[in-house]
Amino acid sequence: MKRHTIALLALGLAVLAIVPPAMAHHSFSAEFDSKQQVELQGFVTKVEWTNPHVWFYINVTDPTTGRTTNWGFEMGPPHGLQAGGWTRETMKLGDEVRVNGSRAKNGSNKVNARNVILVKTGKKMGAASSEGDAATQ
Amino acid sequence: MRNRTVANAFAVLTAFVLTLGLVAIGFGQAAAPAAPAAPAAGGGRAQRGGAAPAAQAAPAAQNGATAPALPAAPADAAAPAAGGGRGGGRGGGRGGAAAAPSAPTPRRPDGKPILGSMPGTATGRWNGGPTTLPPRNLDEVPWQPWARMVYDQRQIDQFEPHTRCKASGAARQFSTPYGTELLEVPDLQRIYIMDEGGPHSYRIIYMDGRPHPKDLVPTNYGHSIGSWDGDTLVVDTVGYNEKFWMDTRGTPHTSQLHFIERFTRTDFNTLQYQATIDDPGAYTKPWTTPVFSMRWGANQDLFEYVCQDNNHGPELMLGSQESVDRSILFVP
Amino acid sequence: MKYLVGLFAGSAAILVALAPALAQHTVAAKFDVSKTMTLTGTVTQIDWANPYSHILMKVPVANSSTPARWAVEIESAILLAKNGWSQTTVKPGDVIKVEGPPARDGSKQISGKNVVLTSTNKSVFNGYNGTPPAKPAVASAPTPRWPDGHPRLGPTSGQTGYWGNPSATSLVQTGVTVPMDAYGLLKNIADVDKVAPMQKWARDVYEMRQRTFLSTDPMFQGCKPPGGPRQYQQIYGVQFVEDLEHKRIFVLMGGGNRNERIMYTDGRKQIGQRGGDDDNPLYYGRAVAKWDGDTLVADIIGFNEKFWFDNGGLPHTEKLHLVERYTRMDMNTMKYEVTIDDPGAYTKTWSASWNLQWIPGEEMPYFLCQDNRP
Repeated sequence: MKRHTIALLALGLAVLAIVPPAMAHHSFSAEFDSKQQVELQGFVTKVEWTNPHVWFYINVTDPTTGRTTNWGFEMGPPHGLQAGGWTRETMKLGDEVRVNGSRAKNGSNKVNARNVILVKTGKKMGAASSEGDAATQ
Repeated sequence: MRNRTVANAFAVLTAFVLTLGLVAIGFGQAAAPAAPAAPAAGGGRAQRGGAAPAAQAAPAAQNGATAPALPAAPADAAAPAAGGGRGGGRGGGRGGAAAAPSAPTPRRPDGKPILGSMPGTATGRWNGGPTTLPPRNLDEVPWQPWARMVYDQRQIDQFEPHTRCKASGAARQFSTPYGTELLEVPDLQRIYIMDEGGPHSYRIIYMDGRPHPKDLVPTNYGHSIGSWDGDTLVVDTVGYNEKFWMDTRGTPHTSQLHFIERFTRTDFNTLQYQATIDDPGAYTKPWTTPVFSMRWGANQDLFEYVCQDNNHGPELMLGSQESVDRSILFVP
Repeated sequence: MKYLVGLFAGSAAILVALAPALAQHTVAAKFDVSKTMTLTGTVTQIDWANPYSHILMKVPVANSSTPARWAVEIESAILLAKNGWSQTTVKPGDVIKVEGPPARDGSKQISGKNVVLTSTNKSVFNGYNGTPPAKPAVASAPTPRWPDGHPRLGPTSGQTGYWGNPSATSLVQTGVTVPMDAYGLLKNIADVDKVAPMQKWARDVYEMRQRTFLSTDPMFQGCKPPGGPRQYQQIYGVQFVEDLEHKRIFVLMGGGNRNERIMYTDGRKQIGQRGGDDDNPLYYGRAVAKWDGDTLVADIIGFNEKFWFDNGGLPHTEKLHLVERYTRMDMNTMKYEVTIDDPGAYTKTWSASWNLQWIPGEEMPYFLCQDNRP
């Protein structure tokens, strides 16, 4: 039974692995660099629930210098996020979040978000990132 | 104990081999209905995150209070792929094995296939258009040398016009995660192909037997005329400009492009699509793409999508560069 | 104040010369219409596009071997073509003399009020050569109808055509006449209060938009859609496609980025579809429509505030509720009436009305405002 389960699990993983990672998303890798992974924590200053991508912004304070910078994060489109359990109210102004993702190639403080953790509840949500998709526009 | 370890190892090895095999197939473009590669070729969203958008809206019940006054097409219920959605979306072994055969191609009283939503029923869209037009072996394409160089460069740069909200003709309009709606208007003798995503614009296919005009002003969608070849709609388009990419990968074209598409609704849920590229400016002879399959997404209204709403693409897109000069001498 | 009045007077004069150049923005939004420059130089490139075509030219610079690169803004490719221009009317290498107002921001851009080809001394562009494009003579005919008796909003069976040449191109409340140009720019800023019954904040916003020559227009700045009545103020018009099989009417836009919107006639509620546009506020709102005799009455709610619903920049809020009435008076005339019910911006409900003209036998001009953007 256990062998059967493992094989099925492996098959399941194999099916999931069908997405060919080498065929990078057209505008993802034109805009973001998967080799520059960042993780940032801060307080939400703006949420733009829009197409083609939802964007949100947080203020991040450097613990050593005390300096605050504003960072912007791209997620998937509203309807892709809703499939993952988001609503427009999930993240509110002032909420503390921790985000990881790939930084923008142009060096700006913009990141393609992979996951968002709502610090108050500890809930982790996928950002419906366009990384790995064939097309999202 | 040892037996179990060996058994486990065997299972993992089997899975690994299977994975390799499936990933290898996954790189292919053609999506014969049985092929597990369908999600990759389809250009839909990665299956990792959940069902393709086509699937999630499929059950009419999801609309709740918004249930349209028009009933769901009776044939929708017959196809488990439509009802569950996920099986069809993955196109992998799982869904394929479980799905009952789909309902047959719907037809008008005169026998012609209905390519869009059946009259008197809720509307739907075609999802999972081709990501890239050439076959898996790029050497099969009769590139002119400059065209192959441009194609290779575009894989690195990825400065696709569609991402900058430009209307994109040929096959590109079929390649968003939101699908397209084929709207047949018999009274006007034309078919509209409505973008859902991207520029949220539309393309006209004239079905009244007219020829292409002589003095065409080149446009992003060209001038399309359609006719029936049995159950296949053949669409002939000329008059393209060069301000877009034909597919998401940037297979090149010039304004000499003569694009011939064949649409065949092989069953209720499947629209087969194949194109011939006749472009003496970019290729040494005409060539034909593999056959792609788009999937019917039932009970999907066209919704508002405005690419310019909040698109950071133009400012973020660098492709393979370190910086891009975005200055233009004039603002529109 | 006097300076501003002078500015407006100047702009009115220039705009009369260019009328009816109803393109993307009023010239004054981008160019300093109180000044005129004359440049002579060599054409390097023609950018034949929408919303504006441009002639790029090299202009010699005194005491320098390096010429300056200038861009001359002329009209959209569509309007130029209607006036007999083609992409080759002026060619690279031609020497031209250009007269017009320079860009406000000091960049090397000039609005080409008058362009003369030096070799022939002929004026190749002078606004519209003064005259608007010739309209086809159209015989009047009764309102065409469907078999069930409802008026057809589009062409007769198998034909084509579109609704253009709006008789008004900005909103003014019914019963009031306020002089303004084709873009909705007031001739006299003191008329601000007459245009519509605005709440104070809305009136102040409207005045600011007017004083800055409508240059903050989201359609001009970022190609945002012409939601609401604005789509019927566009020179490139609209088409209605009646999808009777699915109880929908599509409105295809000639202005903006060639979008479509839908008016549902199947009796549904004005709520978005889950996984579609959900409860998001929209540029085009959520429209349902039904027939009241020979008039189609559409009700629209669910607007966002990221666009202008009027060429002239009248404000609106998310509370905007429009009631539109479409009456095809005869083959060639569509009467459009709109009631604006926005308790967030106006002190009461108010209305405006104008006509659209049927242009038979042609498709809507192919206009993409996104064409010329990076």
